[in-house]
Amino acid sequence: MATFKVISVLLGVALGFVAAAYGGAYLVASSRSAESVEPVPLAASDGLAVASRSDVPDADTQIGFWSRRAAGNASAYLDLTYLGQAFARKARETSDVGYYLRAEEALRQALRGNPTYVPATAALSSVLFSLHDFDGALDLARPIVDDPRGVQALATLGDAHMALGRYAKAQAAYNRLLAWGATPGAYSRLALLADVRGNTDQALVLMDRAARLAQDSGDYGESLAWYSYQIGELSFRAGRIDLAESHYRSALELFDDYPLALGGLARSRAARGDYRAAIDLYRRATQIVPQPDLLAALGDVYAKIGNERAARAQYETVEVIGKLARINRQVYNRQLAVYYADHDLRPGEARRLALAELRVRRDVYGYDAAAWASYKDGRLDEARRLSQRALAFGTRDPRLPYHAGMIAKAQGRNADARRLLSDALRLNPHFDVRQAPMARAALDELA
Amino acid sequence: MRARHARKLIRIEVLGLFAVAAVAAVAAIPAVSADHLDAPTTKRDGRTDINDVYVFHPGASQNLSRTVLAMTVNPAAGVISGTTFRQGARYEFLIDKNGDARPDITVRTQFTAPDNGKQNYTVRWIKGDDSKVIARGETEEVESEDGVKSYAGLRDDPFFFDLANFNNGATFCGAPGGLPVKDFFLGLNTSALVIEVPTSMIGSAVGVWGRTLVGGDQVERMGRPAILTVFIPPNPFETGSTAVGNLEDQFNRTTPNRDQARWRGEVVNTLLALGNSQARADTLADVLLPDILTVDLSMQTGFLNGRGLADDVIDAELQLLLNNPAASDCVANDSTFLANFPYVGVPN
Repeated sequence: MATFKVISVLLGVALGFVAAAYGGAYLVASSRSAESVEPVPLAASDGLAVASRSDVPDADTQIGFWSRRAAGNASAYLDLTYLGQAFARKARETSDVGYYLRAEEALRQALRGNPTYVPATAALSSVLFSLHDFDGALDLARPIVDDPRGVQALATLGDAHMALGRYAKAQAAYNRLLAWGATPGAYSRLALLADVRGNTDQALVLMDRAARLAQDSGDYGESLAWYSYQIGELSFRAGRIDLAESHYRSALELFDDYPLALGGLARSRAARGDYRAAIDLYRRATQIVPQPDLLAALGDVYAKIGNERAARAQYETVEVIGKLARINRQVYNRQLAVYYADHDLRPGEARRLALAELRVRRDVYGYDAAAWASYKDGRLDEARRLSQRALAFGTRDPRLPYHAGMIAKAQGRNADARRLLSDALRLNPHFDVRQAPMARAALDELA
Repeated sequence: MRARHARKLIRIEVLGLFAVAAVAAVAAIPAVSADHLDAPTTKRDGRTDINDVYVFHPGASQNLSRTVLAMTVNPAAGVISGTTFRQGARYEFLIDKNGDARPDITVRTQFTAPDNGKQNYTVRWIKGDDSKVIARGETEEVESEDGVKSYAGLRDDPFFFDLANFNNGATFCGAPGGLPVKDFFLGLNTSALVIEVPTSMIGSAVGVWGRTLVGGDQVERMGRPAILTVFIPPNPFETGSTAVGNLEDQFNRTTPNRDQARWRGEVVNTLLALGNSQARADTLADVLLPDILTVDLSMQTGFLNGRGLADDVIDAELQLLLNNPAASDCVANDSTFLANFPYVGVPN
């Protein structure tokens, strides 16, 4: 706990003096080991936990039921609110943004029927957040956070602050949320905030608590599998591949073919050198959800085993989505910028996209993506400044010190570069099938 | 402004997506965020979420020698909730015989895990140190043994209420600013647990409430209809109240013997907000708490004496709370009940 206090103090320093705190907060955080916490994977034991059972309603059933009831009845605000929530559930399960748009429409219609219905406002705020309209989400959430029916809005308020990099405000909102009730939603949010601050152990403990609470309260399907997936992510970033795999597998048991878990498991298999399995898993994931980051990762694994043609096919698909993304900045900026930078493509475009994204989402990953893209575009001083801000909270994600290390190397700051690249590889030597070897090669050059 | 513009662009992109389908077999627009840090909304467990508790004499002419205890869970079963009972949870009817708001008889039902949608259950009658199984069976089957009948399974939800107008500021019956009169629960299903026993097993003047327990902890309880909804924040009548913690959850975890001490203030506040005088509010609070369904089984049942399936409890409570004998939500029973056990109607 003493180290935690030290980190907290350094955080305070970092907030006030970002440049001076460069490296300091990060190095202290990196000296702690995340080996002490080992969450046990959720078992699909409680009847409801497996989503494919017919005993629980699926999203399509819900959508059909509430659509029929609301049809031709503009004032059916209750039915429309349930319909909006069903669309949002479908959006989560499929990663298809179109469902968020339909959720938004249904909820706006509900509020035309009864503008005072707080649960609809809270649900709409959450949907706007998912669509990355953070200001819109905040505008809706602020007036209802004190309303007893507006607890969801309190969560969204915190989430919006997180996306905007206002971590102290996010903490305040999440603390209020926890004080209202010890819920999975409160614990999972505090977990992710702890992770941003580099407290991996605490993040694991909190996310595990969230997962167990969710299962005990009868949660099932994607909303339960999400916790297992998040524990997998936290574990993978800390280099605990076996632990990550066990939680990704648990997520898949809880929600068949969960694309995020398939992607996580694929990345873990690649980290273990099992490229065939990784390819199979990424293919399954991208068939369901052709996301740029999954497609790029699949391409990288194909490239790793020497199948250049297949790799190019994936990269081209990312480019296609990238062209679409030019008119849909809200959704793809960050993924695309990182993809370009990772593959030394279109450096000017990557930098422009990353900086545009940073104007909307000012969290540590936004700064990191902008730092990486600026570096690839040869703007080293700018890259260094952005990277310092990315590292300011001590987030222990290998990509952050990797990017910072490459920037330092390019600027001739060899001692910093050696330290940062070592930190990245110590966290997870296989953090990325293409980038980790580059980190190692760069470190070898500095030896 | 920018966000709205961007969302219009997302719509345009949908059209654009199909145009480039030949290049990549892209079935759906990918996710908005690579980090997937949006935490989900926990799906509520309907299996232990009590909708209603009924206590009545069965039959059109009311057979006083028989008493039915019924509890419904899984609101909007099959749509919002699932259609099974929670394995290992306790579904209890509690009967207070001496007016101290503590149970003298516990009627406890527990279920096994669903197997192809079917569950087994046992019903245990616990009185003091005496405990015996009075019924057992399989869900969706009418069971009958030694004068006790039991049923657990999917049914039409007997409840009826204009919930939309209630949440719209109680604008019932075509009031200004109101919505069309509609029973929100028409067409919804529920999971019902129905037990019929000889009245002699229970007694005459008793109090009954239902509760559910998970892992030995009480998670929900209910005596009279709508007490939680009307009186405990958030409710539509106390619009100025601010939440101090999850009061609904706290109410559900309270045992009735502590209701007066813990919840009297909330009840009186709501009654005052509804226009009752302090004196009347106090009198009603004496009656409404503890939250127990009182019934004299030596007489015919009908809310407020117990509660039958067709009783318009909403009108009765509105009249009581608003001190207006004409108060109503203008919604009447629209369910078809069965002449025989288990009486609750077939699922929609």
